[in-house]
Amino acid sequence: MRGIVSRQQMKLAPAWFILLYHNVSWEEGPLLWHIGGTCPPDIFREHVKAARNLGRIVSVRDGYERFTSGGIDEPLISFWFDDGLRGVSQYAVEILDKAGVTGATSICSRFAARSEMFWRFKLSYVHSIGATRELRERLEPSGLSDTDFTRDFSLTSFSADILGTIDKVYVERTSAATREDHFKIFDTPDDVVQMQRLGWEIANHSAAHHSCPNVHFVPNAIRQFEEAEETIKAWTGSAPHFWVLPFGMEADGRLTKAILERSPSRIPVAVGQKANRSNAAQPAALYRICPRATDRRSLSRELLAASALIGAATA
Amino acid sequence: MPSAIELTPTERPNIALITGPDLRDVRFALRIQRRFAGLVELWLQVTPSAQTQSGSMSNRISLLQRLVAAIPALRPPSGGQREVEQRMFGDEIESLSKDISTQADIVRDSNAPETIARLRKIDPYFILTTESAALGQEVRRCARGLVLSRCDGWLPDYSGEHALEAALYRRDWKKVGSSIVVLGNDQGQIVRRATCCLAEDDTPESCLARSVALGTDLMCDVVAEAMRSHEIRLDAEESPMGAVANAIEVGNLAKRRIRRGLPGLIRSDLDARHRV
Repeated sequence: MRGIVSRQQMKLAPAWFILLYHNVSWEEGPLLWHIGGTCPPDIFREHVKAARNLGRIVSVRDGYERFTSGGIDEPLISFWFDDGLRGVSQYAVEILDKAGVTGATSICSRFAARSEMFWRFKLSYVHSIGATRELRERLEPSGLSDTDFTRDFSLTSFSADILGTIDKVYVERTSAATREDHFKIFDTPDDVVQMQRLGWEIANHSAAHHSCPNVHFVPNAIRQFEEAEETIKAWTGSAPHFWVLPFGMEADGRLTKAILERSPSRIPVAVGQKANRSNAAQPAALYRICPRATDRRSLSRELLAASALIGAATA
Repeated sequence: MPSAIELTPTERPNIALITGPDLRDVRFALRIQRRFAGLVELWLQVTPSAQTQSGSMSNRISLLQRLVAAIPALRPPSGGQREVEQRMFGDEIESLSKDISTQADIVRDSNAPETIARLRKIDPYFILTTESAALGQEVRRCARGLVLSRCDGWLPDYSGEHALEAALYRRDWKKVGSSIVVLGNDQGQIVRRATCCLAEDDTPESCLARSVALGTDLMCDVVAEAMRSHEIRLDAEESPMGAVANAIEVGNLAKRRIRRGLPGLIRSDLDARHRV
């Protein structure tokens, strides 16, 4: 019957499903307003409950061990958080602890160190304070057309010039105190160390989350990962195993390849909206599923869609 | 206008809480106790009895409320305020309740002489409240340092009982928020304001719960900053709208419209803000 999903159809395939979130917070301020990605704590709590009904919730470390040993005979679900936002230590740690697991947090070293603000957040802030027209005018020489959205244009046409323009407008429109205040949105190095002590996986998300839209940006991406690795190692005492691609961009697989060539022991992590199958040929990267963070009901659908994608969903 | 309030440093930054009886208020008190373990010495939960309201009127209101609750068609589709708060905070409150040291003391009147005597006995540095409208001058004078209040809505643009509904009615999503105010002898000064992260199926009831949850976090941040730096920075942001929206009367018709159209509107409008 249409619209009715049977218990059998709700079953996920035996695979490792990694759920990707960004912030978990009651607040959605100007730095994130035009970017999105905040999940209110009550919704996150419901997602954890829904995940528990669909499979076994495991830590990233446990999931990875079972994934590499080929021993996944049931749906495993893990939680991952990108960009090192404060809501992770404030809420996600507590909610997952109650569920008996830990997660992984991907840190951008310059954000945590308070030495550089995420350029996407600057973009969101500039739009939030009504400086859109000014920004668009200044981005025109870099190729922004009337039909482009700055959010997409800056990602796909990424360049040092575009970064510089966004930064210039942001600095002109903010005081030093406001800029300092904005860094509070990120976890600090102390928070990162504390999360590691609690058993969380600390992942490398590059120094400053630059876009890598094509092969020409791969060397810069590798340099950014190396810088972040050195910094995170100085804080935590160990180099992160997982290198999480900014924006999940693989540059046609070139970035993943470059990471594995530089250091075979590092594990590239992308987005891809798909699950990881244990019995598949060893993939080049791990994949994650980014659910709709403000919708309490969508998670099951998204997990089932990922399950169906690997062609093994129980019909 | 000063940009900050300087505080006298203290060895004992003890806290008294004055809240209402709703789950959102209970969560407020528990979260503050968790953040400032050992510093919360008194928690007054103001629960006015039916006797304190004018007798026959209160009986009539109570009867009406029971009638409305009994007729499914009159209930909000997402459940009443208590059901929504139970769904959003129930598990969390159960977990937080396990390790608190200061239990709620029920009081009928926050301004009664015996309530004031209890406050004076602990001589609080901070009084933190969700019940600003109910606090008289004498209560406010009991704090050695500051009286901070959490208010629904984005002050001063949206204030009063219908602050959130007015913002929702105008689809002014950025101002569906919460404000922290320093209560002085007269008008309060705004210390912090922030916007709620909305969910796609939100209702006026869940937005109120979100506003209080957000305000709880803001309150913790403001108190932590005050303890650390011995000053409180005021929110200097000018409000382009002034207090125009204060005058909005959100009647029952508007409330029904908000409830009926809200989920679809939030989803489409929140998606639209990414197209910049």
